Amino acid sequence: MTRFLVRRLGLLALVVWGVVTATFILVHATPGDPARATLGDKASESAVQALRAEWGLDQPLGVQYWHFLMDLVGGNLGTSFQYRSPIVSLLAERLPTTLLLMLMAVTFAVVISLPLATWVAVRGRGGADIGVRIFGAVVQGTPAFLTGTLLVIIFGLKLRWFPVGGYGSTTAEHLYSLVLPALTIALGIVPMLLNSLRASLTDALQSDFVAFGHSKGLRPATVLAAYAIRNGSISGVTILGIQAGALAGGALVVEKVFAIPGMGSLMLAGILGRDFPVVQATTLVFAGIVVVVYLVTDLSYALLDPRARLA
Amino acid sequence: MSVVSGRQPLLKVEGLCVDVSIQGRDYAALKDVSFTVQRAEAHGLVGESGSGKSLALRSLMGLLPSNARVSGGSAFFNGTDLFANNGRNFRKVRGTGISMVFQEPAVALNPIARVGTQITDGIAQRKGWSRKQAREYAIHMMGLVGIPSPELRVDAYPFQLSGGMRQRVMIAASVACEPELILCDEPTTALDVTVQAQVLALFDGLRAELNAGILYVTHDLAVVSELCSSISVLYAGRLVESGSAAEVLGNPREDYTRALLAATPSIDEPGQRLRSIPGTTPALRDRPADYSFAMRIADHAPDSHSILEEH
Repeated sequence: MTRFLVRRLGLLALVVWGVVTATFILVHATPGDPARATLGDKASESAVQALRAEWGLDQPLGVQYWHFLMDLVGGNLGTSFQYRSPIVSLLAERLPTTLLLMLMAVTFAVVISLPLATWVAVRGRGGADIGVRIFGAVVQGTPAFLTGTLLVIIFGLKLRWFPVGGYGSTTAEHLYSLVLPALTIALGIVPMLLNSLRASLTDALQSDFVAFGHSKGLRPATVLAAYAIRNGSISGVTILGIQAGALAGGALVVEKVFAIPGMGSLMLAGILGRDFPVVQATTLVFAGIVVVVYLVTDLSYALLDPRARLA
Repeated sequence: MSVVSGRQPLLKVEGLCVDVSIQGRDYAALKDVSFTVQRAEAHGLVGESGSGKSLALRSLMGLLPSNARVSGGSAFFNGTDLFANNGRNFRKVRGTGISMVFQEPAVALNPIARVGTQITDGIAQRKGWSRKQAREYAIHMMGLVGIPSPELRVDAYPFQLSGGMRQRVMIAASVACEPELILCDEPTTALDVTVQAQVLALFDGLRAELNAGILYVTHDLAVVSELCSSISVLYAGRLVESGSAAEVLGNPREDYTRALLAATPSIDEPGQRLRSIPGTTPALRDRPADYSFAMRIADHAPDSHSILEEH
């Protein structure tokens, strides 16, 4: 177990290095000068040059890369060009919002998929099965920005159940404002999760160990929970892990649609404003989230399935 | 089960018919099958693959696969018809009245639950036992079925035990509630011969100790002659012969029984080529409704010669 963790953490460091390097190359290859973007078209050339020198953009790319890496190792993510404040404090403000959004999205996805999948698996082939398949196909074919807009129109504008955007100021308001955005992201994951759970629960229900559970005279609800669902839901964990990237990408789009002040909107503002340090730092954090989700997925197998503990 | 009269058989199956639906069409998998099992008696239900013997067993537990259903007949257990009352009678007898030992413990034990839990979850739920009480009883039961150092194995998972140990766990689970009737679905086919002998001895002991009836499904006549006092022979969903074990095995009246006996390898005739019954029982959808063994022999006339002549 310890060796497994050490190896995985080493791999994590490698992935993070790859991501920051790729991001560094990409942002510097993008046309547009951060100093010019900050000062505007009317600023004098000498003022722009002075700002470039202040930010170290006049140095050779290799030197800039070296400084960037060394700062990173020291835990210094740099200073935002636009906001003129340390990026660490920007992240401290924004990261919890995005993490909460993603957590709510995963919760919604599970809360929608697991009961639906169980219901369909228990009912077997028939109307319910076809209905759920069609629902899955339709949702899967709808992009997040459209799902989000539709949810805003229905639940925000028509029914007025939830705010159409913004984040509020108290924790309760935060949670309330995140319902529609989280639902939008969740619907992106639901079809795949639902399909996989439906298949594995159907298998589990037809298995001998479920028949064995019944043969002992256990309550049907106990057999369903302890025998069928516990076995059948392991595949769902795999799907949630695989969808970590989709989750992060979803957060990016959805925060923009709903004006949520999280990591996604910070990253987009950074890209538009040629704010190199912000883009680099947010990319790094998103990559980190995905890698950590993968790690947690692998660890949770061991929790759910004793056979995985030996591997 | 208070209305037990002394003379009443433990299980009386009469005219049992089971239909299996394949692609929307119903096929008769069991036709008019009748047999009885007495207290403290082991009854062998013998037949090849496709004879319907496992379906017969599962129908008595209310655990038929979703595409099969009982289409006629009755099964009186202690005077109560199991098929009446819309299947609700099964729930009353499972575990305490009738229990089942499955063919392959590797797939019939819940892969992600500890074996101790699987032995006692039925009785613990019924009696409202604590975890500790259940664990102690599991250790006791594991000792009873001959699992060495049960206190070390009670917390193991099925995959950590050998095939023989797993089958013993399955047997311990099936007798945990001291049932009156134990249904056995070829429980020794997945085991090697020495372990097979031990498991048979175990069944024989349980039969005597619990005064329980055993319905033993198998294709193996050697096993039947060792354990069972009476036999029913099934071919292609029909009963071809039944009677006491000595009678049927010693003086078979039907060609099919003779062929089955001839196909049993004998240790007394070393160097003999293994003899087999020509052909196989055709799949349900490929055989006429009145399919009989004579028709199979007619289909395979040239090569069938030897086996019937030699007896």
